[in-house]
Amino acid sequence: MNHSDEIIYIKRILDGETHLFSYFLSQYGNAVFSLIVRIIDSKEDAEELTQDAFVKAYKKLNSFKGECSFYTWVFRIAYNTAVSATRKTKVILPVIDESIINRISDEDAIAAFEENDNENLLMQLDIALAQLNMEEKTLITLYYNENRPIADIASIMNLSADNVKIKLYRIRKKLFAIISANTQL
Amino acid sequence: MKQDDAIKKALKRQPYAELSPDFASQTIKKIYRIEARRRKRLFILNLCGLAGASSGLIFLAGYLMRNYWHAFKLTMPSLNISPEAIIQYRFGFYIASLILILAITDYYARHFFFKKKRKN
Repeated sequence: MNHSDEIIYIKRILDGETHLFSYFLSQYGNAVFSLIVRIIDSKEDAEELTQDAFVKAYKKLNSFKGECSFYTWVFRIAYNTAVSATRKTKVILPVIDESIINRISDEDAIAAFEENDNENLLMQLDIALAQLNMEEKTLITLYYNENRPIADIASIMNLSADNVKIKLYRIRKKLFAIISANTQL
Repeated sequence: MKQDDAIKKALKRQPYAELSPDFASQTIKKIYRIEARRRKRLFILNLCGLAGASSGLIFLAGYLMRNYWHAFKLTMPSLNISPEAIIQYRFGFYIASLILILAITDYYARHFFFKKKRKN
């Protein structure tokens, strides 16, 4: 179903055909859930937040003007819902010295993640990914997992496209710094 | 940046969590409840609006007619019933009461019959 079909569906839902909303649930439910579960780290809470996000989307459906895709719009709601939920719980993450990240060259960071058959690197990456904050986890999930274009990510996270690019570069460097620190220990 | 194969692979290796099978039905049920509440609220709001508008119109009518009130004289009509007519009225009332009793008995009899049938 393309964007214009989705807009027709939304109009029909607003005209009273509530059951049509189940299409959006089945279409985007798992994608939204997989983003939230990476941010929240609890399957039960993530499912509840996914439901909250869709309920919010339904309530705000009349404000959807079709400027972006429904996917982007619902992901923005889901991201904001997850942000609000995590504000209540304080998660302590290890602090990485900014100067260490700044010292890493772009070439080193790019070269480090080119190889994908190194089992040790993948294990280290698993550990490093868990140490990223919520915004960073969202960015890499949307970019690498969901394969969303930079413009969409910027729209979802309410950032500029340049800001998204800079943050993605920094995340790569941060992952490199965490892995380097762990391997030196 | 799309060449970061190791990051992609590491993300893909992470355990894949899936929504529970009844997620969509639970969510749509919740949405139906919200929709029903919204419609009820809208109905009450409309009713309040209509009641307010009606009260306003009645008040306005009363206000506009304030100069004529003193001229109003409410007199109840007098009923003159002859003794022959009273007998006819009594008979009519008796028949109507019988019909009413029969209708009520029929209603309860049907009610208990179907209740018993459903139980069986």
